[in-house]
Amino acid sequence: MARKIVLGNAAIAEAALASGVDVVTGYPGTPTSEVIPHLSEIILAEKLPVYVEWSVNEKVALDVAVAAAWAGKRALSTMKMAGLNVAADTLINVAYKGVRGALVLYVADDPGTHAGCTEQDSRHYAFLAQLPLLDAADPADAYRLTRLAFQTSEQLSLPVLLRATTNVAHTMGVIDGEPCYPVQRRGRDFHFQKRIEQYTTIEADRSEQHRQLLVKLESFVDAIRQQGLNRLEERGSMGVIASGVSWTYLQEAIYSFDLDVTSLKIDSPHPWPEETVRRLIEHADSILVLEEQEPILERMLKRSVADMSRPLRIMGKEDGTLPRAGEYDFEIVAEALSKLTGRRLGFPAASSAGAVIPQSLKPRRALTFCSGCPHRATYYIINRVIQKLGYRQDEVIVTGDIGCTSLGAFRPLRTLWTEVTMGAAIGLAHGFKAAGAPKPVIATLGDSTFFHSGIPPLVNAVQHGSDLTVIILDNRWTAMTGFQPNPNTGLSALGEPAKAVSIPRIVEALGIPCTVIDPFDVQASIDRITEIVRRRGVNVVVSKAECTLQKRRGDGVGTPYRILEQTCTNCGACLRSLACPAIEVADGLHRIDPAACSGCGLCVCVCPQDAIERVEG
Amino acid sequence: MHYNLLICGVGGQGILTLAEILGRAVVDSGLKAIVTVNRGLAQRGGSVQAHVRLGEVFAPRIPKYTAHGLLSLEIRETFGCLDYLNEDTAVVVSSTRINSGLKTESNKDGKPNWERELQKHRARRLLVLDSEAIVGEQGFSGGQNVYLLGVLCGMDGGLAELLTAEAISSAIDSVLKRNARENRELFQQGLGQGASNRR
Repeated sequence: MARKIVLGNAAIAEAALASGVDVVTGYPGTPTSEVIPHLSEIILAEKLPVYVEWSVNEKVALDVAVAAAWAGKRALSTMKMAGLNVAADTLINVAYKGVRGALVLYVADDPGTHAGCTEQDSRHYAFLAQLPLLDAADPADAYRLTRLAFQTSEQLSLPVLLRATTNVAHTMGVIDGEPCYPVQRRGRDFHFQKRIEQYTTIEADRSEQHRQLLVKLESFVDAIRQQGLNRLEERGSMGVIASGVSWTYLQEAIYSFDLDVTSLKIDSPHPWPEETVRRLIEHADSILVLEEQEPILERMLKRSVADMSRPLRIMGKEDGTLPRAGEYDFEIVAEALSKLTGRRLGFPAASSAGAVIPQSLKPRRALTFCSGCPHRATYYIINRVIQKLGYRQDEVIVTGDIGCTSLGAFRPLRTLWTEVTMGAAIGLAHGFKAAGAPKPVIATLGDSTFFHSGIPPLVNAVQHGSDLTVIILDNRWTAMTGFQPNPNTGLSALGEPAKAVSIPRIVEALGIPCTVIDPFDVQASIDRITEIVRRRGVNVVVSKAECTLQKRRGDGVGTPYRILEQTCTNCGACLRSLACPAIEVADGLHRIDPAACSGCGLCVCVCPQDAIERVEG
Repeated sequence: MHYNLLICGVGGQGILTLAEILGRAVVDSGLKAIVTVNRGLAQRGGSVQAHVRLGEVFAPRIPKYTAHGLLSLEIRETFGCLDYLNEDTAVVVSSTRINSGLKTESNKDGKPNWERELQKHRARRLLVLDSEAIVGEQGFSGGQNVYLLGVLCGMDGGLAELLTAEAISSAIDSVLKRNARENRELFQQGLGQGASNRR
């Protein structure tokens, strides 16, 4: 046993390796992105025979993992909540077919929306697909539940969902990790038996498979009860049901305020541990339900109570005790516990807490592109193209997509009108045209997003004779989630050389023109794109320049620029139009921090005084 | 027994490294700990808060008004942490100012007086240091983070009860791949500075 402090996501990676995982797939997405890099590091260091890939999208990731599990291997697939929507088709279908090895699908939700998506409650998928779901409360719990997920998945031939939330995935805690090696892999050689009636849908007795699935779910409850899950701790007539990170807030409150409550930690909201819940109901006069996001446990509890016809006060979201939107924290939980216990629970506020802190004192750091980011240049170019075409910025629709490119919606560029889902930029742009948009429409998306979900809508737009310009901002990496490789990078998840798939060749195969530009060659790019936007049909531009942060790590960046103090009138045009973090105002003077400047030279194009030049030597 | 340490600053100032050093020291000392550094999307040059919780702790973040120590690497970021403080919180702040990117701005123009504003807004055990100048004298640019951790350890006995200076010192050694010796010295220097400001 090795005691260590690790991220929740790293705990899941270590538990997967300790469970002898053979195949790992995933698509980067906050807050799950750290699982595969952590796992890869160990695989490389220990030379483990584990196959890992960053797949092109979540559905493909799950398909790959499913095949491995059908062949008797242990497989893990990781994705964020939005990605599970992409993979849901396979998930729901495969639930009927079952698995032979183990298949664990790790998904993370994000109450509080730190990761830039919705507060989607992925527990619903367990009910929809009729699959078991284990819900982790902290990193040590995530480790324990991952181990159990692999074990029960193989035992019951059933895919198992493992869920965490941002406050679990992105929290570091102490785990007692087991050695990942040597893991017994004997008896798990590749073996996929041809069984058409099981592995095709058309030939299967689907109703019978459905019945079998329900039987497996029943046995899941027993299997995990034997492992001590869904634990009830009896201490008095006030009951609390909690799951996920809410469980840790409850523990903190029990410890801090010496609370006497009968508590039930729900590890598996689905299948619902009816028997254990009934024991709680028999004990309690009132029950508080602590769960972030949707009132799932609360409604399941109400159903159990109704079946038992025992009068009971249930406190949760539906009676207004707790909020349904936003994340919980210790204070919210302590307040709910105060209502349950009738005690005033909470830490005394500092005596000066009433003093209002002036807004002007609070730190404000605007979200913007990094210094030297090629996306800043591309969006600047698009704004200039719109001008050059004789339109105002609010006349030409520019659709955006997921990832770093979405920052084009922020000040000062404010180029983007929309940002929805992966690849939606192109589908929406075509839709605006189909609906009769009279002015040009421009779609923008990143390279990884293009591969993920951008190709089908491009094919669709070409087929239907749309008139639009698609600009693919190709920075070679899936940058926002931490520089994972994508089909365009030429590297595998383990950092080994891989085939780099050419975006222009894919585009040209559709029979439409593809123009590659260098976004730092600003004037030429403006001229080129202006001409392209005027054309009929679907036209694709690839704005190609590597992510500057990655470039800094690799072959470095160009020599920095500087502002000539004598020439600069401090008009502020550079900051106002680009908001480059390398440009600062100190003591009333504009200057460029040479350490922060990446030498992209974009600011030269916006200075009306020609006061910016490259540092000599 | 537990200790809640909040660390704040800006991405790139070495907050993650501090969290890593403390995490290592914790594991080596057989303690329980929870560390949460900014959840969700990180932004280069953005605000960073690390909740470092040692001992009998459960929740991922420090409950309001219960920080035992606050370590701030950028004075203005301190104002985003005031809700966690109480009258007994030991507050160690670097007078460094960083604009939106990774660069500093001199505070010579003196507006506003951040230190006075901090005292007004509940930081009672406050020590503001020009760590940039102090560490800069050593002739190497890194290490403000480790120096200030030393100051806090020297200033607040509560932290030392859970984590000894030796444990932190040896964690510095095993975590830092470069300049470990210089950082250990800065940590010691900080301890001395903190001890002389014990209050």
